[in-house]
Amino acid sequence: MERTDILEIVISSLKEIVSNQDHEFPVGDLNEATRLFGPSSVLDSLTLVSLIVDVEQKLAEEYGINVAIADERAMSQDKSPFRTIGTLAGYIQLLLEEKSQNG
Amino acid sequence: MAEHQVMLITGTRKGIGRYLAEYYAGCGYLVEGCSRRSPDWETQNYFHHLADVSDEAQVIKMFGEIRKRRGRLDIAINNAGIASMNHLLLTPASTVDSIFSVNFKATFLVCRESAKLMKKNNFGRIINMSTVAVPMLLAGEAVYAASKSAVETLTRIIARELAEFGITCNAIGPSPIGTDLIRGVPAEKIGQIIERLPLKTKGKFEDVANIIDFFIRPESQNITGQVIYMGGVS
Repeated sequence: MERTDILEIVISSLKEIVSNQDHEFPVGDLNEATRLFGPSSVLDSLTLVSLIVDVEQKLAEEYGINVAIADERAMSQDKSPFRTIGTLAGYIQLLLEEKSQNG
Repeated sequence: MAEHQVMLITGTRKGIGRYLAEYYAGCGYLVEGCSRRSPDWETQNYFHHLADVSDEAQVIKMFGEIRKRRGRLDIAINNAGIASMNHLLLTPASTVDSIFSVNFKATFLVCRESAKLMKKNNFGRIINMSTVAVPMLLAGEAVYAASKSAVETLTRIIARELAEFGITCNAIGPSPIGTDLIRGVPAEKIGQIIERLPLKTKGKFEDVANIIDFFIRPESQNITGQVIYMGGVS
C-alpha cells in the first residue's frame, strides 16, 4: 500500500470527523503538517480516538487489512506518531510493512 | 426491532450462551456466536466462529469476519467465562492467569472491538457478565469474584467513555444457575449460597434473558453503567 493511499484514508476520515464538528475548519487545508492534537489541533482527544478507529475500519473495509494502530509502541513513544497527519501516515506505513514482513 | 439487528454472544457452545443464542436467533436477531470448540447444535439465523476470545488476534479476526458479512454490530453479550473455587492458600498462580484471561481480558477485547463496529451507527448495547459472588464476598471465590469485580469496573468506566457514541454498557450478576460453570462445586455449597440470597432460589437461563431484554430494548437508551444482580442481592 502506497503512502499516498494511506494519506488519503487519513485525510478522508479526518474530513468526515471535522465536518461533523460544530466549529468551522477549512477542510481543504488539510495536509501532512496538520496537527492532530495539542493547542493548534483540529481535533480534541476524543475525536482523535474516533479518527484512529475510523482509519482502522477503512483499512479493514477497503483493503482487508486488520491492524491495531494504537498498539503499545504508539502509546509509549515520546514523540507520538499521532502528532500530525504525516506522522500518523508514516506510522501506519511502518505497521503495514512489518505486518507484510511477518506474513 | 430484532429484525436485521446483529448480536454477538461469546461462549455459545453450551450453557447460558447456547440458550441465549437459540433464544435471540428465534426472536429474529442475526446471531454471531463463538467458542473455542465447535458446538453440537445449530439453528437458523445463527453463525458460529471458532475463536478463543482471550486471544487478541483471534478476536480481531472474528470481528473482521462479522464486519465483512454483516457490516454492523448492534448488541454484544460477553457471556464466555470460567470459574474456579479454591481457598487462597491453595490457589496456583496459573489459575489467576487463566481466570483473568477469560473473564476479564476477553471481555475487554470484545468490548473494544464491538465499540469500534457499533460506533459507525452511533448505536450499540454491550452486556457483560458479573456474579452475585462480588457483592456477597463469597469465601472460596476470591479470584473468580475479583475477576468479575474487574468486569464491573470496566463496565462502569467504559459506559462513560462510550456514551458519546450512543453505546450503552451494563452488566448482569447471576445467582447460581445449574451449568458447567459450577459443576465442580459441591451441591451443599451451592445450597448454602442460595440460602443466603434474599430470594432463595436457583437462577434460570430465562432470568438472564429477561435482564438482557431490558438492557437491549429501545427504551433503555438512558440505562448505562449499571449492574443488575439476580436473587435480590444488592
